[in-house]
Amino acid sequence: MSEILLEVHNLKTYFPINKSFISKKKDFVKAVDGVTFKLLKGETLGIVGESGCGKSTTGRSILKLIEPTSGEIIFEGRDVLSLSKQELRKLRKQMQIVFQDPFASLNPRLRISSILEEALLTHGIGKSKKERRQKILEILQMVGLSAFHADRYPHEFSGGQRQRIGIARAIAVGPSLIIADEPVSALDVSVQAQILNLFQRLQKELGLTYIFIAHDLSVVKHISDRIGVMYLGRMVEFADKNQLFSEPLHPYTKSLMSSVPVPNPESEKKDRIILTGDVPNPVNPPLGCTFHPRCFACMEVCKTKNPRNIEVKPGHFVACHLFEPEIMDQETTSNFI
Amino acid sequence: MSSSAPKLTDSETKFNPPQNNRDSEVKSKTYWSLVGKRIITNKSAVSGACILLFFVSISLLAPWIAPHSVDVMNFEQRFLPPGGQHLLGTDDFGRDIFSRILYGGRVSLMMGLVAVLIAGVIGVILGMISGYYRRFDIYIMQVMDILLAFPSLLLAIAIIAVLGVGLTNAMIAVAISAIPSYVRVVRGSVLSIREKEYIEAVKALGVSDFKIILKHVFPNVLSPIIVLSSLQFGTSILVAAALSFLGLGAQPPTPEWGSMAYVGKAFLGQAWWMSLFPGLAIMLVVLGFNLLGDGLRDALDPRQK
Amino acid sequence: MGTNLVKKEALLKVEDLSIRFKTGKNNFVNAVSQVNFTINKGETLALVGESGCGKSVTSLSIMRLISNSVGNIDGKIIFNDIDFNQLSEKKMRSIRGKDVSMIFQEPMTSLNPVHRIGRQISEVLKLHTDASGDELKKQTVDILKKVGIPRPEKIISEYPHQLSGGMRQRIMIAMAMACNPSLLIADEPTTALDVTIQAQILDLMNDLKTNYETAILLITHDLGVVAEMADRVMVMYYGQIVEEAHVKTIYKNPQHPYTIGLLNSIPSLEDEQDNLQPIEGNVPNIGEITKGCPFFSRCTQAHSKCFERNPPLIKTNNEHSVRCWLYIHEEALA
Repeated sequence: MSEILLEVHNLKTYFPINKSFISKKKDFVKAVDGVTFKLLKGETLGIVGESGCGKSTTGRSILKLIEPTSGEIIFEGRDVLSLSKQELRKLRKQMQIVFQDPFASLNPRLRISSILEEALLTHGIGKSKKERRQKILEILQMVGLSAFHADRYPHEFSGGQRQRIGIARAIAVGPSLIIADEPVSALDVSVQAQILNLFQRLQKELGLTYIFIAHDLSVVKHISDRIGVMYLGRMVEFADKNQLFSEPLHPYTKSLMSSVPVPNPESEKKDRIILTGDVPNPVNPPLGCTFHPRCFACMEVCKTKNPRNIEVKPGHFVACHLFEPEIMDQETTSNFI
Repeated sequence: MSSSAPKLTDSETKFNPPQNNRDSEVKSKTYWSLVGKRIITNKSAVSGACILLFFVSISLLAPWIAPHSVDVMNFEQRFLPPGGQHLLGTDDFGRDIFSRILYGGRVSLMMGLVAVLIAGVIGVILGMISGYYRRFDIYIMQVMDILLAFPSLLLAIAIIAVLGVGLTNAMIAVAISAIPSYVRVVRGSVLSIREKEYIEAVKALGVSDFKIILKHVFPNVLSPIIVLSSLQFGTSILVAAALSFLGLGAQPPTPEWGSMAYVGKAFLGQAWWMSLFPGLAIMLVVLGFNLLGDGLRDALDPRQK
Repeated sequence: MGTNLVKKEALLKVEDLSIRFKTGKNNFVNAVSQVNFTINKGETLALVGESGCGKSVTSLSIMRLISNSVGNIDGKIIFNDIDFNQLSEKKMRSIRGKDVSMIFQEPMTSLNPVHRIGRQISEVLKLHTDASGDELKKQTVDILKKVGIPRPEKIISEYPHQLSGGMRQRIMIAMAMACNPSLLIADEPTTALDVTIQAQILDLMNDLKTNYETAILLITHDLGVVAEMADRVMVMYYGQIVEEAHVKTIYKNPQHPYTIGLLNSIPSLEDEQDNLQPIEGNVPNIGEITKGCPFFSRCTQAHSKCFERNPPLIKTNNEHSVRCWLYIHEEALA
C-alpha cells in the first residue's frame, strides 16, 4: 500500500450567521460536518456532490483558506491546524489550488509572467530574474502555452487558456498536492477534455496527488482513483472508483448516478430513481440522517439517529443505517441493497 | 460513439493551417494605456481637464502675468468697475481683482490639493484596513459614521473651533471632513476584491497580507480612488472657500477666493464685481473637477471595453 | 423520445435566418448565418453548441426579442403559417406566452423578486385568457399542480426567494405552459440545476410533451440531456448549422468532424477511457474568422479547400445534413 500523504479526520467547518453586534447568540451553517478520509500519494481523490454539499469548503478548509472549526488535517505527518503562520506559509509550497472560474482567479491587472513570478518569488525559487524567466517559460510550456503568452494580460485569453494559466500558477512552486475545485465546469465541452488530459499528463510527469472536486459524475469518474460522495456537509459514501460505480450502496449515490443523463439515445432505460424534493437548508438540516426526507429507503431510525461510517468492504465506506449489521440481517430491507 | 469522418484521399494532402499570427505579433496593451485612450476620447474628462489646466497655469504663472501687485493699496483707485486698466475692477483698497484672483488661485488650489492628499492617504489606509482585516471594521466604520453624520462644513467649523483660525488649520479641517468618504469608497471596493478568487489564489501561494494588499488589492481600488479624489478636490476647494468666506480660513491680506468673496459681500451694492469674479473662479474650478471626475469614472469603468 | 412521427406537420419554419450584431458605426459581425430549420408538431428539436455559437440568439430572434438597435435580423420565421415578420408588435405580444413560450437558464433572475408567485402566474393567464377572480386563482393552482409543485395553495402566496432553484424552474415552466403553447423554447433549462433536480425537470418536460403534444426547441450544450430528450438534433458552430439529423443518427453515425470531436471529448459513465480526445484549440469568438470553414483551424481533417471556402450544408441522405467538404463531391456541386 502506498504512503499516506494527507489525513483528514472529523473535519468540521461551521459558518456563523446572524452575527450581530448586540446578541451573542449565533446560528451556524454546517458547511462541512465531520469529514474523514485518507489520501494516498500519487492518487486522485474525487469529491462529488451537488451545490451546497460542502465539497468546495472541504477543499478550502484543508488548505486553511477557510479556518476549520474543528478536526485534524495531517499533511505529511504534520498537523496543519497547529502550524504557526510562518510554518503554514512554507507548507503552502506543498499544497496548491486550482479554481473553478478562470475569469475571477487571475488578477486582471497583472501580466501572466508577473502572476507566475510572484509564485516563484514567494518561495524563493530562482535566484536571478533571468533564472525565474527561464522557469516561467518552462512552466508555460508544460501547460501547453507558448513563450509569447508570458507578457499578456488575462483578458487576452480564452477560458481554457486561462485555466491553463491557473494550473501553471499552481504547479510553479512544485507542490505535491493540488486541490482542483470544479476546474472544468466553467469550460466548453470541447475544451474541458483538453484540461482533463492536461491534469492527467501533469500528474504522470510531476507525480502529483489530486483532490478533484466536481459536481459532474462522469468527469469525476474519468479522472479519479477513489471517490467520495458528499451530501449536506457529510461524506456519505467513499470507495474505489470501480467499486463505487459497479456497486453503489448509499441511496443518495444510487439516485445521483441514475440522474445523470446518458449521452446515448439507444442505451436501455434503466429505472431512473428520481428524488423528490430539494437539498434541505444547511442552517436547519433534518435530524438524524440528513438525507432521510428524500430517501426512498427511509426507516424509523434514520429520522432520529445520525448514521456512522461503516466499512462494508475493505476501503468501501458508507454512512447509512441500511448497512448496520443488525439491520442487514433483517430480510425486509435486503432488497434495497 | 466511436466513429470517424471519412479519411482523405492521397490527392488531398493534409493542409497545415497558417498559425494564428495575431497571437504572437500584436503587442498587448497595458490596462493604463487603454484607460489613457478612453480618457482622451471622453468629452467630459477632456473639457474638465482643460478648465483645470487653465486655472492651474494662470495660478502658477501669476508672478509673470499679473498686471498689478496684490497687496499694494491705492485709495484713489477704490471700487473701479471692470474694464480699462483693471480688467476685473478693483476692491475696497484699490487692489486689482484680476491679479488677486491669479494669486488667490495658488492658495485655493493648494488648499484643495493638501486637503485631498491628507484625506486620501489617511482615508485609503483606514479603508484598506477596515475592508481587509474585518476585525477592525466595526470600530473604524463607527467613527466614520459619526463623522459622516455632520455636514462637512459644520464638521470643518467644529474642528477649527478646536484648532484655531488660520490657513493651515483650515486645510486640516477640510481634510478631516473628507476622510469618511475615502474610507467608505475604499472599504467597499476592498470588500468586493478580497472575495475574488485571485486573492484566494495568492493566499494559497503563501504571499503575505502586506504584499497582497500592496500588489493585488491597491491597484484594483485605484480607479475609484482617482475618481473620488477629483470630485473631492472640488468639494474641498468649496469647503475651504466657505471657511474663508466665514472668516475662519485664509486671513486678509492673503488673497484667497473665498475670503475675497467674503469681503466683497459688504460692498455688494456698489461693487458687485468684488464678489462675483472670485465666486465665478470657484464655480469654474469646481465644475472642472466634477467634469473630470465624471469623465474618469466612465473611462475607468471596467465594464467598458 | 421514440415517438414515431407519422404526422409530420410543420409547426415552425425558420428560413435563411441571419443575425448581424453592430460592433461599431458601420461594423457588423455575423452571429448567426443562413440558419434553416423546421420543427414539426409535438417534436423535440435540440440545438446543440458551445458558448457563443449563436444558439441562444437564434431562439431569441424566433420570439422577435432582439431589438433592431443591437443588430440586423434577416430571414423568415413562419409559425403555423403566420409570418412573424409581418406581425405588429401588439400581435406578436399576444403570441408570446400563449402559442410560443420560453424558459431560460437562470430561474433566479427570470422571476420578479417583489411579486408573489401566484400573481406572476395569473398575470400570464390574464393576458391571454378571460379568466378572473376565483376562476383565475383556480387555474393558477391547477397549473402549479400540473408541474408537480407540492402545496400549490400555499406556494401562490410565497415570494421567489423562498423557493429553491429547482422549484423556481418549475414555476417558470408552469408560467410557460400556462396557456398550453404549441411550442416551448427552452434555453439551457437545466444548466443551473443540480443533477438530481435536473432529472426531475427533464422528467417533467417529457411528461408535458406527451400529455399536451407541445413541441420543444431545446437549446443546450449537454449531450446527455440531448440524448434523453430530443427527436432531432441540430449542431451549431460559429453561427452555422454544421450537422442535422435524427438523434440516433447523430450519436451512432456523426459525420461532421466537430460533432465527432464533441462526442469524443465527453467522459462516459458507462465505459472506461484512458484518455479523452479533445478538440484542440479554442472556441472562436464571433467575428474572429472571416474566411473558409470556421472549424478549419481545429479540425483534424482539414485540407486546403476548407481554408479557402466555407462548405454549403448538404444532405448526405434524406434525413441527414452536414456542412463539410469531406462529404461534398465536385460532381455534385456542378
